[in-house]
Amino acid sequence: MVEFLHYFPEALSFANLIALLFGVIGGLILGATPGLSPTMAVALLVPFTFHMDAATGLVLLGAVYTATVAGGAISAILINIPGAPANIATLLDGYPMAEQGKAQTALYICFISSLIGGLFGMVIMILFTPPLARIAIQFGAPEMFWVAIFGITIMAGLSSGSIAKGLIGGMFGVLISTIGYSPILGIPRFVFHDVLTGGVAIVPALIGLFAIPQVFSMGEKLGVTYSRPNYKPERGVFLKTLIENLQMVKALGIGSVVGTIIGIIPGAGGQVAGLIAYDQTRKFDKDPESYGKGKPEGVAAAESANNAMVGPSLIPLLTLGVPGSPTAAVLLGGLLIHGLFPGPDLFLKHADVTYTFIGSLVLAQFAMCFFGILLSRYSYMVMSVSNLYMVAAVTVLAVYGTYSVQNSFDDVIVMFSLGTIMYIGSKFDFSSAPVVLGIVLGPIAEDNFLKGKMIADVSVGVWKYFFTGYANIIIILLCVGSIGYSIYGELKMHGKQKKIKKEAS
Amino acid sequence: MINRDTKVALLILAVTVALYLSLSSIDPEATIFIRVVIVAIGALSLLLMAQGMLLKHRGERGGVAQDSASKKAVYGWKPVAYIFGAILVYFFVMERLGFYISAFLYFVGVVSLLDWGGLTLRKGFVRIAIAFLFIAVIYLLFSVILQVQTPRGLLI
Repeated sequence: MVEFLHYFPEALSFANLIALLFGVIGGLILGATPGLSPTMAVALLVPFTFHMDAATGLVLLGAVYTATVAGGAISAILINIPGAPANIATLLDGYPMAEQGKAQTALYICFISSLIGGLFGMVIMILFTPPLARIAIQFGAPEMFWVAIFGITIMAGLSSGSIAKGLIGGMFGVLISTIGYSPILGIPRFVFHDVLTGGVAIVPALIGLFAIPQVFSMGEKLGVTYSRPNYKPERGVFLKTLIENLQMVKALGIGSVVGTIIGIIPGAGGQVAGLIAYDQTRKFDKDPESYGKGKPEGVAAAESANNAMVGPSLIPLLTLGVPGSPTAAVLLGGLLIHGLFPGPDLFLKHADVTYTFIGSLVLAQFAMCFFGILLSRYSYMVMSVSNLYMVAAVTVLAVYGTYSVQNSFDDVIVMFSLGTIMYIGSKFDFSSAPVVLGIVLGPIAEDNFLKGKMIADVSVGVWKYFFTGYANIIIILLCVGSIGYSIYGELKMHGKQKKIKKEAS
Repeated sequence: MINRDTKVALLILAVTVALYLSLSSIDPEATIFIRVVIVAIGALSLLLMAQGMLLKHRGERGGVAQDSASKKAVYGWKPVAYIFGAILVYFFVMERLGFYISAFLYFVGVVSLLDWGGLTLRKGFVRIAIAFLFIAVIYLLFSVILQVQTPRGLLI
């Protein structure tokens, strides 16, 4: 906390405030745009931060991350389409409120609750991250190897309909990360073409895997049109809504606590946080039947939860290098291109950058609330942007961003090839997130596997070195648990589908 | 009949075998980690195959049921093919004309190609204006302010 306060003024520097402003406004617009995912928005921005000071670049990415989650609620409330998966629970009561002519109130509740939940999550993050980083410092090669595997298993289980496909995606990501020269012997592997000599860099992979499939899928949906939202802003609503919102102590409390807990669990994400918080708030309410029909508490619970998740979702990322969500995986890419490796060093050697980043995330919560309320009245303009222009703009930005990092046209080819393969994969229910995580965590897994093997070969043997010790066993159990939980969820879903089919027939 | 998941699993298995064999000429010390990963993928593809056989209805659509008729009404492969082709042309001309001119041409080209039927003189001018504005903003923000390098060509 002392370090945080010490470095907080850095977040208020002119360059960082400008980055924060652009990030929040841009994030709100991108979040509100149906068809553009927050993860893709952050991925497209990563290469541009390469040309900035490390702290300023991270401030920009953090601000976009924070604002896209809240911005996604605008389209959820106004046109019943969540801008991001995190906003699914918001539309359950947000859209009925808009239908009843209370869109302005719903939007104000959304941004005020997001601020409250977001701040709660940030406090938890500031308090817990440095001590956890100090525990992580004691991890050796085998523990770090298992941590990388754990990262892949959790993302694989949660971002794909099938655990097997998720794990295959993650493992293919690891394979992609091994393209190029081997880390210890310097022997080329999988270099089938000159383009692959230097391996696959993180930025082309991030952009290719997240942006290109989205460009193609926007092309598929060109015929889709969104109805014009019924939204007429009136004067004097804000103060009334603010007082009403602050009285929703139960909904805000449940949302903030649930969001924080879910956020700390790597891979769980805002979607789960919003839905659980919404469900719990409904269960604890005296009138649960009124939910789903335009209950303001439903919006407050969902939005406080999905924003409370933002800060804690960065705890596993900053301490262990395990991203808590697909967007956090992209943020990890942002850290890596600035030469910042997650873990204790981030708080010891790069404390100025890290705490400036954390400080700016706190400021981003306030900016998100202020600009969200201010811009929500113009949000219908964003929603009327045609997919036609999105297709063109996202492609141009993807090419530009990829090229600009290393001034390499080869990177552009790699980006497009990976994106096209991922698009084909998505037709068979493979998702981008596990592959990206595999690419990000692959080098950590390989380096630590090889280091561990070298030590083990001259000491206790590979088996004993990697499979004994409290930390190893705990992380292995977490890996097994995460796979087991995903299989359980899949079987449960299968049972539900079977039941629905039976009922339908 | 073999369902979709089983076919995917067979394809993955074939790819993993090919990748494993491609490592035969490389020093095993440099590929030990890769071999472990490939074996893991092979095992997972067998699991996917078993899953596809056991949960047959799921393998056909990979999870959530979808109405194929309504899917056809909204989704189309033609625009995807147009975008794919336009991007290839964009890459081809980028190194010759430079980033900004090729990006402008791509922007106008792909938007017109995807909405050829609805193209009018007025719409054409609007599209050119939007593309010009978009590229101008990128140029100002990144080339002038951030001084990011881009592929250069005929003019800029």
